[in-house]
Amino acid sequence: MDYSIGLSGILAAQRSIELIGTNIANASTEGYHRQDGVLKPTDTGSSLQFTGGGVVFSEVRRMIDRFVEQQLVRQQSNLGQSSQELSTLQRLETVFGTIGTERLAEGLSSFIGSLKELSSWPNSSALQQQVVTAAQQLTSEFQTISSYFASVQVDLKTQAQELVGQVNTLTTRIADFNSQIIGSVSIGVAGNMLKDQRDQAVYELAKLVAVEPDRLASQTGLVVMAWDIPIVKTTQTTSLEVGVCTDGSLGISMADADYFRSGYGGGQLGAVFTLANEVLPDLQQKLDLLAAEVIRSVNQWHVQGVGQNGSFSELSSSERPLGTLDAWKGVTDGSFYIRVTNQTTGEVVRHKVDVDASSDTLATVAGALDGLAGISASVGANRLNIIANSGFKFDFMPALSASPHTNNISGTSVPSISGSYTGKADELYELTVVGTGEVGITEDLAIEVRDSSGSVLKRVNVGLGYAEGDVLDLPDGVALAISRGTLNNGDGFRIQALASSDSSGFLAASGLNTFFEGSRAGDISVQQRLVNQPSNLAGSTSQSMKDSTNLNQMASGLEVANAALDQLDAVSFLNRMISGLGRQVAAQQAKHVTTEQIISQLANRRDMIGGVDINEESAKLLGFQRMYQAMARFMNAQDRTIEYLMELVK
Amino acid sequence: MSWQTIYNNTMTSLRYQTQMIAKLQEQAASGARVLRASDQPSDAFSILSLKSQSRSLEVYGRNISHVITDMEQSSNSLNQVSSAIIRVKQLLTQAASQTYGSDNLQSIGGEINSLLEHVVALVNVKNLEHYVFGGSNISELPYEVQRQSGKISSVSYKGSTDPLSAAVAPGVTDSGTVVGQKIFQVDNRQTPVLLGRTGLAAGSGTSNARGDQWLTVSHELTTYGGLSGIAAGASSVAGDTIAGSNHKLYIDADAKTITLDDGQAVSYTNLSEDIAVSNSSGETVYVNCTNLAAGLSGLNEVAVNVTSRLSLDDGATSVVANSTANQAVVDSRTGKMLYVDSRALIRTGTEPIRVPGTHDLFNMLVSVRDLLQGDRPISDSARSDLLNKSILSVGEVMQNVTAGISSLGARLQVIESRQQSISFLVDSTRSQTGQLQDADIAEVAGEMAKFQMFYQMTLTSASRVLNMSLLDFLQ
Repeated sequence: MDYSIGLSGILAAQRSIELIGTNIANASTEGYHRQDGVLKPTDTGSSLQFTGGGVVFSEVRRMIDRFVEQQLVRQQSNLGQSSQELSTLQRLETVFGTIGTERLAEGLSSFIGSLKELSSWPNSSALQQQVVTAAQQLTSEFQTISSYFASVQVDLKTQAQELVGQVNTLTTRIADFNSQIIGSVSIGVAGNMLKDQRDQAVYELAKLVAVEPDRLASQTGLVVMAWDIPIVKTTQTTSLEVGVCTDGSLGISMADADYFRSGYGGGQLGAVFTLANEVLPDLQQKLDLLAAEVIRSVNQWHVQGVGQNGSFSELSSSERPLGTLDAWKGVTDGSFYIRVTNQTTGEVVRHKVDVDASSDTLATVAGALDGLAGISASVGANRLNIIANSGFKFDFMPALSASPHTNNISGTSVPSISGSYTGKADELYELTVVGTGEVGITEDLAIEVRDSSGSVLKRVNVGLGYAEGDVLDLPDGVALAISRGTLNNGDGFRIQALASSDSSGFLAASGLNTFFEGSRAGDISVQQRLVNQPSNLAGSTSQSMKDSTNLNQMASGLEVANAALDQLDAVSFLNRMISGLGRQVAAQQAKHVTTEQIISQLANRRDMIGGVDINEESAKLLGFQRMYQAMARFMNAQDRTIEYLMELVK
Repeated sequence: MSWQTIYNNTMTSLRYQTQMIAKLQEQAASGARVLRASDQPSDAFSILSLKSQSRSLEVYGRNISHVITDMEQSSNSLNQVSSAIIRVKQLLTQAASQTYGSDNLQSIGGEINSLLEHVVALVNVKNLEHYVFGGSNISELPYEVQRQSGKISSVSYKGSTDPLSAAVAPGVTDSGTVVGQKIFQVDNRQTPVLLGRTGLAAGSGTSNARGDQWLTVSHELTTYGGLSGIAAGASSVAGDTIAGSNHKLYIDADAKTITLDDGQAVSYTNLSEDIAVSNSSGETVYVNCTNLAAGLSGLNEVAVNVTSRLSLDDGATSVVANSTANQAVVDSRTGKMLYVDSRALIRTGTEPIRVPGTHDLFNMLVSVRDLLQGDRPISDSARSDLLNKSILSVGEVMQNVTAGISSLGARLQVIESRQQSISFLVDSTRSQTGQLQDADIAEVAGEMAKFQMFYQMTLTSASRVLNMSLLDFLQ
C-alpha cells in the first residue's frame, strides 16, 4: 500500500481545478474553446488481484464542433463581403442625395423643365439664363457623381492593397501558429491555446478573403486555400498582391507572379473586387450612358437651330483630332446642310456637304465649306472655323428653302415655299402642274403634290380663285405660294423637306453650335458660348427664327423612350438607376442581417460546445474540490493505517 | 450557457434594436418613411417617378400661368379693340347720314384717327416684356406703322404667322399669344367691287389686293384718228377727263361744231386752239381746230385715241389702260395686285375699290379716316356711299375680331380647365408621394416605444442571467 492512488487523485483533481480556472479565466476570451480534462483509471500492476491504481489526468480535450467551425469560417467570409459591399453601396447611394433632394434627378428635371418654360417665352433673357444655369447644375451633378465614383474606385484599390497586406500578415501569423503547434505536439503538449489563437486568426482571415481551411481546429498542420490559392501550407505562406488584370479590372496574384486574375468573391477583399470590377463600373457605365444620351439628344437638335440673334456670322467647333472622322464619336457616313443667307438680297442658299467618315477629316470638311459662296472655312488649333463674308450669314437649320428646285418650269410663275416641315423623315415632294394657263385666271389650273414614292398627297388650285401669294397648305406643315404668271401642263418642281439637317452627326460631334460639350458624365459641360451669352440658345428652327419649336424638341427628346436607355426616357432611366442602387443596398442589408443571424446562431452552437459556462465550471469545481478533499482524507486514512501498523511493529 | 453566448445574444439583439431605433428616430425627425431608395426599394422607383412627374407638372403649371396671363392680356386688348370698332361703326353711321357738314366729318375723321392710334397701341401691347399679337415672334413690334405728315398712312403686320408653342402638358403645346394677322385681317376673299364711275370693272382673274383700294385713272394723251386735222388742245394733257377707247368725236364742218359722244355741240372756228368739248356725262376733251383739213365738210366721225394710266398707289407707279378683260394693276407699296376689266373705261378719276372679305382693321380705319377728312377727291354722295360700304367693312372686321375674342375665350376656358387638371394632378401626385413616402408618426412612435422596451428587456434579461451563478455558492 502506497500513496500513489491518493497522490494520483490529488494530482488529477489539482489539474482539473487548474483547467477549470483556465476555462473561467478565458470565459470572455474571443476564440477560446473550453477545455475538458480526461481522467482515466490507472492500474497499479499488482499481479495477484486487480485493485486499481488510482487515476491519471490523461488528456486535455478542446471542445470543438468541426462542422460548426467550418460553417462559421464560411459565414465570416460572407459577412466580410456583405459588410464591405453594404458600406460601399451606402456611400454610393448617398451621392445621389436623399429622396426629395436627389440632386441629379432634380437637375435633369429642372433642365428639361427650364427648356419647356422657355418655350412659353423664348426671348426672355431671364428664362434663357435659367436654362443655362439649370444645364450647368446638371453637368455639375454629373461631374460630381462621376468624380465621386472615380474616387471610390481609387479608394477600393487602396483598400484592396491594405486588405491584401492584412491577409499576408494573417497568413504569416497562421503559419507561425502552425509551427508552434507542431513544436508543442512534438513534446507532448496539445497546444490547444495556440490552436485557438490560430483558428481565431483564420476567422479574421475569413473576413478578408473566402478561405477554405483544411483540417481546421484539430490538427497540427493547417492548409488554407483562398480562391484556389494555398495561402497557408502548414508553416509556409504564399503572399498575395493586388494589381490590374489585362482587361483593366482589379485582380489578385501570388506575389511577384504578375498574373492577376479577377472574378473572386467572398470576404472584404472579394467584395472590393466585386465593387471595383462590377458594381461601380456598372453604375459608372449607366451614368456615362445617361450623360451621353443627354448630350446627344440635346445637341442633335441644338446644332440645327438658331438663337434669338438669328444666323451666325462666325462659328467655331470644339478642339477635335485632325485624323479621319471615324475616330470621332458619333460621326457616320452621311451629310449635313448649311444655309447661307445673303442679307442684302435675302436670298437663302442651302448647300449639302457630304461626309465620308472613313476618309474625311476636319480639313476636308473645312475645304468643302470654304468653297461655298458667302462663307470661308479653315482649320486652326484643331478647330473648324467658319466665317461669313460681309453681308452674309449662315446656319444649319432644316427650315424649308423658300425657293424650290425649279429646273422643270417653262412658265413665268415662280413658286415659293414657307412653313415648317413636321415630318419625322426627310422627304422630297414632287409638284406637277396640271393644266396650262395663268395663275389666278385660268380655270382648272392646279398643282399635284406627290411624295417620294409617287403617291399623290394633295392637289391644290392655282387657277381661278387663287390669288397670287395666297399660302396653300401642303402635307406636314409645308406651305406653297405661287406668283402671278403662267404655268404649263407638266411643269414641275421639287421641295426638299428635311427632318434633320445633319444625317452624318458631324455637327454635333464637332461641337459646332452644340449645347453640351463632352461625351460622358465626367466631362460633360455647357458650351462656353452659351454660358457667355444665353441668347445663343438655339430655340428656333423655322424661317422666322423667333419660334420655340426647337426648345420643345430638345425637351421632348429627353422625355421620349430611348432605345439606348432600355426604352426609357432619361428621367425614368435615372430613377431606375437610383432605385436599382437602393435595391442593391437593401438586398445587401438583408443579406448582412441574415448572415449576422446565422453567425450568431452558429456562435451559440459553438459556445454550447466550446463556450465556458460558469455554472458548469463551478459545479465541476465543487466536484474536484470534493475529490481533492476525499483523496486527501484517503491518504490520511492510509497514513493512519500505516502508522497503526508501525505502532504494531514497535 | 456560456457567457459568450449570453454576450453574443445580447449584442446581436442590442445591435438590431439600436439600428431600428435609429431608423425610427430618422423617420420621426424627417417625417419621411423613405429617405433613401434602400429604405423601401419597392416604393422608391414610384416615389422618384412621382417626384419627377410632380416637377414636370409644376413646369406645365407655370407655363399655363404664362399662357393664361398672355391670353388675358390679349383678350383684354381685343375687348378694347372691339369697343373701338363699335365706336368707329357708330361714327361711320353718323357720318354716312349726310347730315353732317365737312367740319363735322373732319371731326369724326379726327376721332377715328385717334381710335386708329389707340387700336395700334393696343395691338402692340406687351405682357411681361413680350408682345402678344405677333404670334411666335414675341420680341418684335407686331404692327409697324408708316406715317405721312404725322398721320398713320399704313399699318403692316411684322409678326409671325405661326403661333408660339409653349409646352402645357406632355406632348401638348398652346399659345397665349395671338397671330394678329388672323384676328385683324379677314380672310374670306370675294370679288372686288369697284364703286367709282370710271367704267372700270373687276377683272375675272383673282386679285390679291386687300381691303379698300383707290385706283386712279389718269389721262396722259389724246390723239385723234383720221385726216380731219383736229388735234389735242394745249389743255388736253391736264384737262382731258376721258379715258378708254369708247369715245367718238363728231365734227360738223358745215355747222362748225364739234360734239364728244352724245354731248352738246360746241362751235369752233379755225382759230380755236384749245376749246373744251364735253359729252353728256361731263367728260371733256380739249381740241385744237386750227389745222382742220381744208376740204372738210359735213359730219365727220373721228376716232379718239386716249392713253390713260391706271395706278393703285396714288400715282407712284402706273400702267397704261389696255382695254382688256384682265389687266393687272400693282400697288408698288404693298406688291398687291388687282385685276381690272378696262374695256369699258370711259373717264379719269379715282375709283374706290372694296375687296370684300379681305379687310384689315388698320388700313380700313386709315381709309375711312382719309375719306372723312377729304383726302380723297370724291363727291359728297360718293363719300356717303363709300361710308355706308365702309360700315360693311367694319362689320367684316368686327365679325373677325368677335370670332377671335370668342376663340380666345374658349381657349382660355380650355387652358384654365387644363390648369385645374394640372393643379389636381400636382395635388394628386403629391398626395400619392406622401402616401408612399411620409411616415405615420403614430406608428413610428409606437414602434419606437416597442424597440425601446425590447432594448431595456435585453439588458435586463442579460443582467438577470449573468446574476444567477453557482459562484455565489462556492466557499
